Amino acid sequence: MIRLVVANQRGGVAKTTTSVTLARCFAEKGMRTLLIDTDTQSSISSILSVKPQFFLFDFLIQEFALRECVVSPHKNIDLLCSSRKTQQAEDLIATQQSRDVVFERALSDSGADREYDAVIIDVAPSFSWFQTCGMIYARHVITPVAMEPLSVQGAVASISAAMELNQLFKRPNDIRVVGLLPVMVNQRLAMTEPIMESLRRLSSQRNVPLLPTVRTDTTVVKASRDRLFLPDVDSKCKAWEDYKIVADAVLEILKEVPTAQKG
Amino acid sequence: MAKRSSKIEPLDIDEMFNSPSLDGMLSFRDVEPAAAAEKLRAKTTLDTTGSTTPFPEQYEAEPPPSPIGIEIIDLTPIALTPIAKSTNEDHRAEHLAAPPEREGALPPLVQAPISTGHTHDEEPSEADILAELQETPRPQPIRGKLVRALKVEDGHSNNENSLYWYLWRTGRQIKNSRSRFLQAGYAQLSKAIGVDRTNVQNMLRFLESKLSIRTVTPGTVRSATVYEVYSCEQILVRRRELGLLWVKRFGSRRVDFVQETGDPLLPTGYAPTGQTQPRGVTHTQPVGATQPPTVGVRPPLLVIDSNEAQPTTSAPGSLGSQLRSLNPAFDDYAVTRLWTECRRQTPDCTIDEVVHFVSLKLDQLRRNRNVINAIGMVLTSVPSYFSGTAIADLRADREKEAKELALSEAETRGYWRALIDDPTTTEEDRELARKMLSEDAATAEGNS
Repeated sequence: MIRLVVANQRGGVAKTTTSVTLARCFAEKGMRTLLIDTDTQSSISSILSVKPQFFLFDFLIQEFALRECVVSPHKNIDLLCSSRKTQQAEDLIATQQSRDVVFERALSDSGADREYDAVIIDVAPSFSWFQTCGMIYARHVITPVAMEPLSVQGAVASISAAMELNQLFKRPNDIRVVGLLPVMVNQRLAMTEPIMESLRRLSSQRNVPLLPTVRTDTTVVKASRDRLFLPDVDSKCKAWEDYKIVADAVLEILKEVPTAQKG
Repeated sequence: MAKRSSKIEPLDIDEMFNSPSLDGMLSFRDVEPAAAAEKLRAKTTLDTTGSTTPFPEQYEAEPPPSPIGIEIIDLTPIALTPIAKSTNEDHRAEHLAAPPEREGALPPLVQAPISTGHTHDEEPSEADILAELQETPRPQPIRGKLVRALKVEDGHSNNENSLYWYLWRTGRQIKNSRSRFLQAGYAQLSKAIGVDRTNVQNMLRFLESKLSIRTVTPGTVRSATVYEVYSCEQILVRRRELGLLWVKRFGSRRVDFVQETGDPLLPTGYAPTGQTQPRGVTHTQPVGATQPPTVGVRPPLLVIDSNEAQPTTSAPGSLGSQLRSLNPAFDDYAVTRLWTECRRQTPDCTIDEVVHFVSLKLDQLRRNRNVINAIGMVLTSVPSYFSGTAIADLRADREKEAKELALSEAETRGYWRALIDDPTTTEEDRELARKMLSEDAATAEGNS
């Protein structure tokens, strides 16, 4: 089973797009995928135009069954949406003694481990309890990086957070960033090459794989506007082609991760 | 012509990692859960731990105490003593007789002293006023109707009752189980009883807390929850064992089990979302059927109204079990009271006699649909059998039956003896007769 957190401490770096599109890639491969949105902005439900009856709050706090809370925007994809009450859930989680393993416990109790082949968690830009819980649950982090310096700084923060959590729980290399994903790459822009070079250095220094790039594509915006997945707007668009390669690369990387680190 | 910009250098990764802005990224973890709970409570002004609050709930919505001066006027009828005669009559007379300072001005107002011993010269402090107010008993509005839960339905609201009976009707009996089993999702239940899905979920929780159903297998992503639906008998027995004997009815929409005093025993009502406990939190007041409600003290079963006669003797244990086999709604209090009343009428009455009359009465009541409180009717009517001729008739009948039985047994024994004495009897028959006689003697010895 694959568990992934898509995180970057910088906003607007295509975390949600990456989460949704990777979920679709995995679903196309026949993997049953659970996509969890923990961002209070509830972007995924907006860009996919789903209107669930129950949300992450209901699942974690009200202890509703997972099957009651998920919606299926596409075959093989179940989506657990966030709402504004996610913040309230986070506040309540913070009062628990076992607050670090909330996702672990809730998803295990719901049988998600048995029901799904992949769980992808989209987190908020700011580091918070749900990001911690997501990292502890998934242990594998993908960090999309847009072609601007603050995005790289966000990626550095994510790597740093993973390291701090490992130190905190005294489990070296347990939570690890399994890939830096350059997104919105436009080679014609002057800033692209320095950022790519920075990412290459970051990758080599911190031993974090650099994933294949995802090119800038206006289809992403169109898909968001039409409330559709990327391939449903244009199955031959650049971004979709790139994400498919990224998905393969991620699966390949996760195969190489030692068994002890797999969920 | 614009000057071409210089080449952009890559970012310094080390500098980024050593940036002070990354310090304390996990600092939110430093807040202990208890402190976080306190902070949240202060933020939401909701007590999520269920601890007691200094004031009753109905007063929480009132605005906080106002500064001195405004409160005195508003609260005078409650907190202040009536205007008393001053101990210094001369001073008072002088004070009242003093001419106004200017023409047309009102005479000085005589302030009523606060009963904490302040003179009118000294202003009462806020603490004094609050202490005075807290000592004054506040009227407690009566909410909910306290009734004894004799039937299963007494512990259910209307919707919970509909849901319970739907579960019971739809459930399947497996092997010799007295309860029934059902696998159903919220959507199915919601559609069946015409209640919103969220309410169905809440009602299922409450039915579980009221010991009417049990979750056998929690639902998963693909399969619905399996419930065990207890029979009415089982529910009454389970509730009695845990002391769930009294309910407070809030119309037909909400019923809470309470102690006999009316104090809450289980979490009351449908909790608002802000007060729900997150997954993994240990409930201070457990709601699950598998966890007995440890909150509160089990209501004392023998405490009755002061107007009623106190049971003076405790009932034999076997009476309770025999009565419960006739009707599970018999609790310890009912058994003790029945036994006391019967003994009062006929001091030498026996358990068998009481059980006999209760059985007769219950048979009658089963045919009479107008009787709602069967146990109450039994408690009222059965002792009267022991005051009239019924008990004498019963004893006469039983004596007659015993005599007839003894006569019949004597005849049988005589037959076997005659068979043994008869010289024409074969040895095989004689052996049989001896065996029967020895068994008869053993039985008689055992009975004696």
